[in-house]
Amino acid sequence: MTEQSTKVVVAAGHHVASDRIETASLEELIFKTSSIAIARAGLTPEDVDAVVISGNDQTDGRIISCMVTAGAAAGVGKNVTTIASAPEHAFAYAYLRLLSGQGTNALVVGWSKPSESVFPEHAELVSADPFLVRPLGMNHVIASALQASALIHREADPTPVTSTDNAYVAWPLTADSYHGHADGVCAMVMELRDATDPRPGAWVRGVGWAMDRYDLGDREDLEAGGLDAAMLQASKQAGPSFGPIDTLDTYAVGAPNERRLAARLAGSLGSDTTQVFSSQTEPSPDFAAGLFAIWRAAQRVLDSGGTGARHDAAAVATLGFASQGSTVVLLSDLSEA
Amino acid sequence: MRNVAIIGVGQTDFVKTRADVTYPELVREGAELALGDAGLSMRDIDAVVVPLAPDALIGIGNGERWLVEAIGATGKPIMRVNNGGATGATAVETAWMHVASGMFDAVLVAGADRVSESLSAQSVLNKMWDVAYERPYPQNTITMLAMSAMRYNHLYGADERDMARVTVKNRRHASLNPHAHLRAPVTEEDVLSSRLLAWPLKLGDACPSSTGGAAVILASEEYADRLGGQVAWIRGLGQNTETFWMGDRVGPAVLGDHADADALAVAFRRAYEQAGVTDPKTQIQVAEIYAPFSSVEFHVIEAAGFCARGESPKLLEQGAFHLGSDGVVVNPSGGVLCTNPIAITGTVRVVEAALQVQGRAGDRQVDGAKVAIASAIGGDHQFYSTFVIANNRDPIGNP
Repeated sequence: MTEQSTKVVVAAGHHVASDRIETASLEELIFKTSSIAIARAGLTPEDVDAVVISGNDQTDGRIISCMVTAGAAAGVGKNVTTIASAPEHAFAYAYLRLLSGQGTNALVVGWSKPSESVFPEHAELVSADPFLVRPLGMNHVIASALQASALIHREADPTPVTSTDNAYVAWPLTADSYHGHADGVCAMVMELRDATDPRPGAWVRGVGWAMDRYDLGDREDLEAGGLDAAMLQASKQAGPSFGPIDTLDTYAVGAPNERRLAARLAGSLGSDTTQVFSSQTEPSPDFAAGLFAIWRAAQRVLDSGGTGARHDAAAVATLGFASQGSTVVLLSDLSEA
Repeated sequence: MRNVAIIGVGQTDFVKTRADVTYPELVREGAELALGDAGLSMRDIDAVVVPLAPDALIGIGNGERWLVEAIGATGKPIMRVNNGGATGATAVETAWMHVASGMFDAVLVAGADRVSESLSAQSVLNKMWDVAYERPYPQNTITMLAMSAMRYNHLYGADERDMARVTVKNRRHASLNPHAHLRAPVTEEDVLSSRLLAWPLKLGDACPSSTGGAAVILASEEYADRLGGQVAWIRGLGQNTETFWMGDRVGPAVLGDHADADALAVAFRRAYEQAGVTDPKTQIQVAEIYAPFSSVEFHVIEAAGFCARGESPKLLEQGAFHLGSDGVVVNPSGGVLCTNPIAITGTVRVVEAALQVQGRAGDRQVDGAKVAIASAIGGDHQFYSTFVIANNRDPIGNP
């Protein structure tokens, strides 16, 4: 990447999440969340140069949901792109847009509202290929349980996972290691700023994303598909001056898989004092949970402003059955060393 | 900002159904054609963008996850775009951002569609409408554009015979394109006597449901120069978004009339400004534009600046826009009216525009083509993507 004096920053954001939201439609939630994020960035909807949105139609019981959501996200009259693979990819795309010189800001909005769907697990089932995986009855919980059990086997841990006061969701995932479905919307305003701009912001130091093979049995890296490639890509952008990270926000389906993800990423970019935060402790809207993890990481950087101490942060999110893909985002309160 | 080149293109032949391949295999077919065209392998590709519109049309959710191994993209950055019918073009724009950002040198856009995999595409597409208001009509893409056609004909005095002339032109062009789905020439009477779908649209005014794959490889200027060979250059791109609500496009509080494509005109203007196009009538020779129904072609031609509002039916009657005519040739490939694999229809527009400016379009080649436009439309005539594609990096002037 070429050297440039302007850098990308997360200027502001807002999120709303709950296990089930029945008091507002998806469009209303997007409008409210986007409006607050835009206002917090000191902008009006007219000031927004581009909108990058991401939702999963099947999870929300919809088809081409960008049609009804683009306007709610301030998109009329603007460049609107729907990155449907993952909201964390929408974040990556907004980053690419700004690096390309296409405008000076971008609004990123990701959501998931499975409560508007009759049967979200069925939507997950039809995301499985129709020949091999779908007949198995696959969904994200089962895939993640398979992943966790395979990793237990790989680690040669002979101790069976037992649960006395905690029901199994799917062995070895227990109820307290898997949060379950949730509704929510997350919106962030990203801006292109001069690297010396003193205003508070979470500078985006690196973004990497990569996919592993589809079938679990063929994976090169069952722990987190594409994690090494994503980490390498993000770290190259951040350069040697970045890190060690003070905080790490993780998202994978199930706490055991998040723990292994965190161990690898913190082991590479962190230190003994790196604090790791799980997505399982609060509502993490299904498809959008990765963007929520990025926003939480950005908030930690934004909240550290004024303490006088440097704060480097990372977020890592996985997507697909048993973490087929990984995205790594590196953030700092310093634009560069 | 980096210049971005198209260094490879590929498209399969388009048909109604393909029972011999899965979705990933179909994507692979298009990808291999583009890689072969560029003289590259997947090892040379830094990132992949997948155009994939409504999942239900191919019968699997998040099909982009399924195709990773099939195209050899394990370990690479992959993202998927879904802007409805504009998806295939927006994916090329997304790949352009990958390269222009400086993060990637060679990016593959690879996709496929098999619309016939769903039993009823229009039933699927009905679900894209607002639950409470428009879905119960039942609205679908045919009835939506029938209303637009009625409005256009009412405002500008056009009629069903004008619409039939669009089909006749495009079918003649498609007969010269070995990849096109509907290649049999038709007459105006054939179109006018075809089955009514939603007045004034008849079967002869409508696109088919197509199956096939297509791919484009974009590269940085440095990469393209190093590679050598014939390339096309993306000189400008523009995107814009219209309101979802059709009721806001007619009446006293109108944001943009449903007869016209004002938001598309803005998207074209953005692309023209970036490319330095000041007079599209004289500076552009080829238009590969998104028009899935005959009536749509009129207001897209007008939004692109090739004539004033309401003038295109008369110009068409006088022989304009045909292969061999003076001025811009519209949809020399036969266009969307003859081939519509929804997810990649916009990608095919870029493929065809690139082939034209490179002089590689075979029997459908427009003589002297140096500058072409490509466009796509998605959603409720709502998402608009446009490109200016040229055969060189020189300032665009009068040919």
